[in-house]
Amino acid sequence: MLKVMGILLILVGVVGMGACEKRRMERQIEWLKRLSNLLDLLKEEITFSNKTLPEACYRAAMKCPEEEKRMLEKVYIDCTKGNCESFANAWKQECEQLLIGKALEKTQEQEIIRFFDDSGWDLRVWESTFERQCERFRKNAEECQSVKAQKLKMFISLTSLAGFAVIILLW
Amino acid sequence: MNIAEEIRLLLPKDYRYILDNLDKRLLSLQEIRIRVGSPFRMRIANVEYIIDGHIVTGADVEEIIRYLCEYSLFAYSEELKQGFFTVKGGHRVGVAGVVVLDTNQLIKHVRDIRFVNIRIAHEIIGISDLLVRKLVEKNRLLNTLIIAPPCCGKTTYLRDIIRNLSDGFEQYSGDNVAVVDERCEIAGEYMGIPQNRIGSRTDVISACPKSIGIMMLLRAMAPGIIAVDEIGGKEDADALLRASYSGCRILASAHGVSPSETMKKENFITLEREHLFERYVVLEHKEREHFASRVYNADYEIC
Repeated sequence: MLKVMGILLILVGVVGMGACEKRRMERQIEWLKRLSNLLDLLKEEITFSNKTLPEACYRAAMKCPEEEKRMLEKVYIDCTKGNCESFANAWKQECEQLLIGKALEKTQEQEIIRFFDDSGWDLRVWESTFERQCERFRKNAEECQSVKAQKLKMFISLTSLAGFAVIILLW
Repeated sequence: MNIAEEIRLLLPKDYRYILDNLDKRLLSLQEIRIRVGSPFRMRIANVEYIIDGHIVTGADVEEIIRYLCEYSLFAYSEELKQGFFTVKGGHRVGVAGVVVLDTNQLIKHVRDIRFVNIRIAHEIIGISDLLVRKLVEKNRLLNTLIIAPPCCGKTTYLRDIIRNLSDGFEQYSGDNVAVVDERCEIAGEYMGIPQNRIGSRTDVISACPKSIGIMMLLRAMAPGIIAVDEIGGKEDADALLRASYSGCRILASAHGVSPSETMKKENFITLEREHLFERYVVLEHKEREHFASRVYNADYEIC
């Protein structure tokens, strides 16, 4: 009986760890897509409607999920109240808050946090910068998706192997 | 938002307290001049004040530019090329720096901005209440040209006359007024909303060259009166003539000191030949910020 329970516990533990990793990766993929969408919305406002960065945030906020909406509105308020010296500062501050616990890698976090650090006057350059970053996030999400699938396969086979090994050893 | 707050938000954080100390003098604030390497200067009621202990740095001016452009240089590239911005409240900010030209010798960009001039817009409601009565006859506006040197209140008068003509008064029932606000000074449009009171029957086309704007408004808005600020080019004069041929009444302003001198300008010869204007309003500084106005008829006689 104890042996069976031990086997079950090990299997449940390993499956649990696998499920956690799966959720983390799903969350990462979800946020990469959400951030890519966020940049897409901002790009639309800036390039098609010729809005300023704070206005673009305000208008994009209306089309975003709740968390991004709150973040964008805060950036807009910071900028219009004249509380911040630069848009990059306001963005950095609010973005850091938004990304807490979002399972993104450090480099991905930094890419979005520091996105507005270099501001230029040429709209075409901005447009291509937005496009490049969106593309990068999309690719990251696709890579994550394929890594996730590979990891899942590997995890299932390893769990099965481990399960068999444990059964043989303990029996 | 009042003038103090509008201007405060344009200044670097370290300079904002200066406006807080102005109190009532803020109402007479005319302009703020900021030059890198020089002290911060203000003109209040035609007297220049130098703020000691504040030598403007490049970083200060860059901070101002960030606020002016709402942190978005790309959205204000056209304004930068022209060298001026109109900000919330209708205030006008001129900038100067190094001009970058493209291969066609057209202005591509202005970099290293080191000089900033903030001109405060003063909306004086009712300033033209007496004057406007001399400009109407039998419930119709007599085509009018407001003439004055710079800083004598042309735009202030024009704006208030527009408001009066749009809303109407005892001798005048009001009419649809279409304004071509090329430099966004009359309506002080900000995010599409006029910041100044320009009347309930007024339509505004902003940031559009006058000659193009006049024709657009004629076709699109069926105006009774067309109002433009600071006409100067031949194309402006031609567009005004065409508008008058369509039956529109004309209200315009121009730089000058007298009707005879102004109408002798080469670009205005056709206007003079066609006797477009029936009234001339000449403005001049009286004392400090007060303006004096005189009204002339088509024969340049005071009336």
